[in-house]
Amino acid sequence: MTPALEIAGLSIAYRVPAGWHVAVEEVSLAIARGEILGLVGESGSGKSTLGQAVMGHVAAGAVASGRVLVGGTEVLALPRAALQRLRGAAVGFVSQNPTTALNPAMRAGAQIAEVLRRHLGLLPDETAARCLELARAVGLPDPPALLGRYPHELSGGQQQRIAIAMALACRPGLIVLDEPTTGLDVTVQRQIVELLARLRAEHGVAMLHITHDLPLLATLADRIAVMQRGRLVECGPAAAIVRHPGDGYTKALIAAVPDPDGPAPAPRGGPALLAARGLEVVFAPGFLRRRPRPAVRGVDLELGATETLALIGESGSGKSTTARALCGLVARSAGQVLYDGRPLAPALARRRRADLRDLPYVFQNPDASLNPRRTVAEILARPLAVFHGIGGAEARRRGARALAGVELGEEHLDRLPAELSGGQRQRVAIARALLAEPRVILCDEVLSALDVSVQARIIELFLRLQGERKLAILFISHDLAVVRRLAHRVAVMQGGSLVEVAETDEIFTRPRHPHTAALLAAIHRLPKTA
Amino acid sequence: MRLRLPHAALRWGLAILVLHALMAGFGPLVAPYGQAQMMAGMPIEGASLAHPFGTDQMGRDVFSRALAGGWIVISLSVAGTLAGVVLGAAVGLFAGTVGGWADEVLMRLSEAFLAIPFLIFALLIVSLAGPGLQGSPGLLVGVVAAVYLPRVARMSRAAALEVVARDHVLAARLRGEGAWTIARREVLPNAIGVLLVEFAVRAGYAPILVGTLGFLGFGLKPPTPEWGLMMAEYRNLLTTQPWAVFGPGLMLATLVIGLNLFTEGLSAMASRAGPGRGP
Repeated sequence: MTPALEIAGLSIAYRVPAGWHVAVEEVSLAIARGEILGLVGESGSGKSTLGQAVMGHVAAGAVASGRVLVGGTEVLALPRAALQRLRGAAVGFVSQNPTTALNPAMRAGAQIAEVLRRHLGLLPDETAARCLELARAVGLPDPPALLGRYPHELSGGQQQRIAIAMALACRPGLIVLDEPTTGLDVTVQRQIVELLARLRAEHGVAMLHITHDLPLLATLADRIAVMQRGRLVECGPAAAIVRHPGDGYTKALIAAVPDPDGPAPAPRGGPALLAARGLEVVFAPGFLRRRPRPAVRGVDLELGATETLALIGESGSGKSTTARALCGLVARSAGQVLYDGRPLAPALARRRRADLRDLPYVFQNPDASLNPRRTVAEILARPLAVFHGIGGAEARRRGARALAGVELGEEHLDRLPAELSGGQRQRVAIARALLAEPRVILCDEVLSALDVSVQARIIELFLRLQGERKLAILFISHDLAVVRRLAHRVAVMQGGSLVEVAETDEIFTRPRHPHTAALLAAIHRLPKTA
Repeated sequence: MRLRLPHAALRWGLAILVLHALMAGFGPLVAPYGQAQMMAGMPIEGASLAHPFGTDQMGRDVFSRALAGGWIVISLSVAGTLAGVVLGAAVGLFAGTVGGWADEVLMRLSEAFLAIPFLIFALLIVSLAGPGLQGSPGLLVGVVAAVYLPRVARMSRAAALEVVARDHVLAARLRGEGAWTIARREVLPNAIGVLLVEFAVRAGYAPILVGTLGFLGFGLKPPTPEWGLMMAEYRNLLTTQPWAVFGPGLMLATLVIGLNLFTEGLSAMASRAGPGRGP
């Protein structure tokens, strides 16, 4: 029996100004029918390029050699028309971001129906019946109603289910999934993973699951392949790879995954440095919305002077809004923010400069939080100039020292953000926040865009900084394993309210609120090495 | 990096502009006659090899006059456009960054100016300036700048609005920086591409504005060899010696076409290259 996918000696190279960049180098692997192969690697390892090659897509300006056989058909040599028949029919694709993958102007049902009509030539009533069947298969509640909705009327998880239904529509032998759960909440992520496992069991469809999330693959995949800089460094049964990694890189990757069951930092007492009392934020109502719903209501928080408080919850639960109201980026509508026992004004413009200095905010996405037209040296010089009146050579020297603090060399000073990797950019953003010499930093999902190895280094950095100087950290995250490693206490938010605040170990071992328990249940764990 | 000019419009536009620049720079030096030299030929002579655009009522060589006018038209257009774009960008970037009522006031004000047809607006400024200033190059630069200011302001405000939503601008606000500092340090470098294209587009129409004002008698004073003014001076020769009008008209037309081809090629290249590293 032919395997669902067979890749032999595949190399893909891109033309770059300085010659050729080899994105995929001599990769060979096979996926049996009904098998789930997890492909894991850090950003830039070539895993997405490989996934696209399986769909017969090689970017313009790139050259591919080797063979890619989907169900016995060589896709790289296929003419355009035949490739279009193959895509969707013999191999389905699910991308990372369902919001952009779905057509916003078409109802969900119509998008699934289009696949069926184009590839199978089904009649309208057959199509409708099959759409409902698919919607049930991917676990959408109330299929007739949901299929009639537009993508923006669906949640992220529902959108991804629609995308999976489209990939599944023509009963392909193989589905390629490129980071299908990365943008989703942990609980939704868990449901999608369960759905994928069930679909494989019921429909016998093989899957190539591309992700950077090793614990997720450990629960889902039959086999795991590890890629590093375009090369396949290791491939084998999931349990064996995770328990007894043979390659040094795989070992490092596994070691960098934070352990959700590890010890949490010992709690620290002391009086609150920053506190919120009855914090409420209401955004101005939209044109048609009569009653504005508060994004945050009745939040009481306290952050000790040397403490890390993690703020967790699903997207839209008000975590970021709470942090932004604390630093004044959004004006609160009610309640109080106390800093050092003094109330802070709601609006940024009415706050003292020293208070601004003490409460910097580190944004989730370093691509947006660094001015793309300024060099790292210029970016780092701003807080020094604004808060400490330091400029010139002294600013440069302090900038270099701050970079050293985040383990970046002095040579990065004269680079533009675009010339740095995502992890390096985030470290520059953290260095900028620290240069103000603050007493508190507010970190909004600062690790979510980073590879696990970089993540691990930044976690160590935070722990070291807190040991070296008095620094309070408000740490917003959806990654509970990171939270356990870093936080002294954890605050859980749901629907704009705080539902539980407790010491980290307490939260992880004895959650009191059902929502906390649900978040904890969604954690994927790496099996323990024997 | 290798400089590549792949777009045909850009190449042609650039070629025409280089030709015009050479004519404006070196034309007066190599012109067959002095621009004010009377009786360089017989009065009202047709086009010939000796006088490519013929001669005028005083026997002046029209070609030599047109060559001498090049740098006047180009420098007035460029100076006026530059002033308009710099001031307009300052207003627009500030308004977009500061928001609130200051933004409202500035934008409603520019809309009020935009509501007046630009030629009438220009004539209004010239009349308001009074007879003392009329005919001075400074006033003409001011008129071009004033016509462009509200247009550029609106456009750069739109460019600023796109930038101010980014996190690095929020980070600057969090440092307590003022709107003017943020507009200059955070917004301007990220809007500079749009502003450069805007400058090129506006510069492409500025010679028409300068020429039109000259033609209507609201621009420079005779005997300045400004092309619009020359066309007005010679329009009664149109039946007997049409080259006296066609000549300066040809110069003006080719300059405007060259500028616009260049701009078109530039924006085509910019949109293909996408947002890249700035200059």
